[in-house]
Amino acid sequence: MSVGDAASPPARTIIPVWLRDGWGIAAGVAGVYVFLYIAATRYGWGGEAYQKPISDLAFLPLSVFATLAAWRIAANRALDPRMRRAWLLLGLAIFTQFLGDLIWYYLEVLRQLPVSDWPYTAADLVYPWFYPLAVAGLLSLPNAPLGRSERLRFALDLSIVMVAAWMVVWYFVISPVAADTESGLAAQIVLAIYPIGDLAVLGGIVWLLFHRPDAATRSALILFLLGLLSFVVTDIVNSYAALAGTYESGGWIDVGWVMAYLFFALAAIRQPYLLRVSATEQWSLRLLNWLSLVLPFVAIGLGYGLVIYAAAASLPVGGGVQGLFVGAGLLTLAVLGRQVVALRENMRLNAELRAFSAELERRVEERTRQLQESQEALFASQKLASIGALAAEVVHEVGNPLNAIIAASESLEASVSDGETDAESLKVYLPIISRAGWHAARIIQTLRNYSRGTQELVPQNLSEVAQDVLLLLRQQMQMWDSIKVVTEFAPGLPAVACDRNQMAQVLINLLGNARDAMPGGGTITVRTRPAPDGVALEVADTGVGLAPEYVEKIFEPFYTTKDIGKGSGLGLSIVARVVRAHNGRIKVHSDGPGQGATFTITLPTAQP
Amino acid sequence: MSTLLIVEDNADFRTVFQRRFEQLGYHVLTAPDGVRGLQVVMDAPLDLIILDLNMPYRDGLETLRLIRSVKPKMKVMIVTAVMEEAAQVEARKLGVYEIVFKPVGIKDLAAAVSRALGQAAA
Repeated sequence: MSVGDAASPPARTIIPVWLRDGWGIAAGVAGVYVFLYIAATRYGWGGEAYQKPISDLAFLPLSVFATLAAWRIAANRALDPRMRRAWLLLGLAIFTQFLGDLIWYYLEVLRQLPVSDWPYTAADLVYPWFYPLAVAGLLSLPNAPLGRSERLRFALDLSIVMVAAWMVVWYFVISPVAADTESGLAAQIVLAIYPIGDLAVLGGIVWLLFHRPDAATRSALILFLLGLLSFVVTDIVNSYAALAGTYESGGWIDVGWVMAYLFFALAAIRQPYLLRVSATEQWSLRLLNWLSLVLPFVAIGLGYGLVIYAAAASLPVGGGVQGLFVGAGLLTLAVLGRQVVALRENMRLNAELRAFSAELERRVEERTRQLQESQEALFASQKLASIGALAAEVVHEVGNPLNAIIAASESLEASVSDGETDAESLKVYLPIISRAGWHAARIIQTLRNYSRGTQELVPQNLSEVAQDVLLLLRQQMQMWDSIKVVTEFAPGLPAVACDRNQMAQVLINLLGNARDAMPGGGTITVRTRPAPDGVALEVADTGVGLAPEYVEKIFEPFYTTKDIGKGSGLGLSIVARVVRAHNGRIKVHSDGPGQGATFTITLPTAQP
Repeated sequence: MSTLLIVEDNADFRTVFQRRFEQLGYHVLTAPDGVRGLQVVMDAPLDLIILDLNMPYRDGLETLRLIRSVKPKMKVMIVTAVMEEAAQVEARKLGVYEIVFKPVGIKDLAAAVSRALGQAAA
């Protein structure tokens, strides 16, 4: 598999992109290492004697790896300075664990001291620094600022979770520690420092979660939060175990910490890839949103569940249980507050929604009106453009024969004055003069019909109108590449009420369309025939044809199948308008793409 | 004897032009459109091309460009009924010697032709 090949599209493989470099391989090695460590714990590899050395030593490379991975992000100048500062602090936090583990390793393995039985050691001077550093790191990660209305809800959510967490830690750890006056004050402080620190870190996690972290932080954050959760839960279980005196180096509790380091390292390796991988980002965003929604409810359940547990177990009412009652009261207040906030929010949203839909309606109306106006303007300009095109056509159609007449008569004149006039010259020049003169005259004749402005419905023979148009276009149609125009005019058709000028424009339009539909040549058939309620005029081509879905749309303004710049998409809509103004109908039929198209106009018979 | 090529779609005008200019002592070749005009340009030695821009099959300016790509120094005159300002500028850029507007008499055209050829001689 070519990992670094930029040209190949990112293939979906089991190994994600962010694990495909040197750090990814190192993470893979670390994963195998953790797996082996878990296996060693489960099956007691190396026997009782090696359990402690293996376990204590196992922490060191992992925490170093996680620290280095975090500091690599901090050293990356391409990233957001806030993010770099955050990872520097998080790396420092992990590094304190490395130092603590080192001290512990020295005491327990090298000095062979029974540290597991001591209430505290020198390592406990180093370990707790994790909490402030981790919280500071979490709070400096980039995140979206909360809106004014969100702040109260955020505060309530945070207090719900924190009260519930406090209740758990209070009941299982702090209150027993406080009650255990035998070990002395120092031991009490050391034992209490960890759960309190855990609560602070948990607060940091929840704070970040409810703050909708930055897109660049999300995916790595999931991994980092998994690590922190693993760390915090292990910590609390450990505190409980230490209290009960059941902690053993190399036991299952250590697995939790090892897992936490692995997650920290993975999060740091993930971090620089965040902006590049977007499919997973969606996934992580949804998960974070879901978590921030669900977490308060889980906390509520946990808090009240603990109270019910205490009641069901008929525990003696001491410091522990009293704390639970206080917690339940606080929890209830926070939940009620949350409810009020949600209600107010709903009312505000409802009002906003109503205002928004009213605004939307107004805008739609305005846009529709503007569109209608611009459409009218376009119709007008299209008409102007067709007058311009007609003028150019006339210049060419009349100018050419006139010029031929001038050139022929001047040539004849020159021959006469040169004294070389002969029958041959007369035979060449005179027919040219008369032919060209008649051609120009016929064009002028046809143009007379265009001089009227407004619509004038008078009885007309549609076949004659069509013949006129074909005569006008004769010269031009000769230039159409390999296109043949055939006519099929039915004899004895009744007259229809129509404006000759406008109907001619309609036919010119349809002929132009038919030509454009046949870039490779073909046949255009102009046909008139009797229809049930009048006379039909058909223009059929053998061109590109129409797909059925276009048949409906083709008479709509701005609809065009021509390339951009080739058609305004107005021609057929104008045709349809003109036909409707004649009380007529227009439809198009095509057997599909490549099968040609037939436009049929039906006009009602003129009332005598 | 100077050789002229007239590219013009109107057959009547072609006939008159050819007859009159042969009487005036030119060797005249004709072509009804740009494609066939270009064939003549490539095959025969010419002194002047007279191009009517409103021609079928190939836009006159396009024909002019093709002529220029084959014969960069060839003397070209345009005869046309209508020509947009932009097209005129474009044609002059392509080295057109003169643009003559129709209707134009055969005497004026003959004068323009000898003008063009006279300049070539000078």
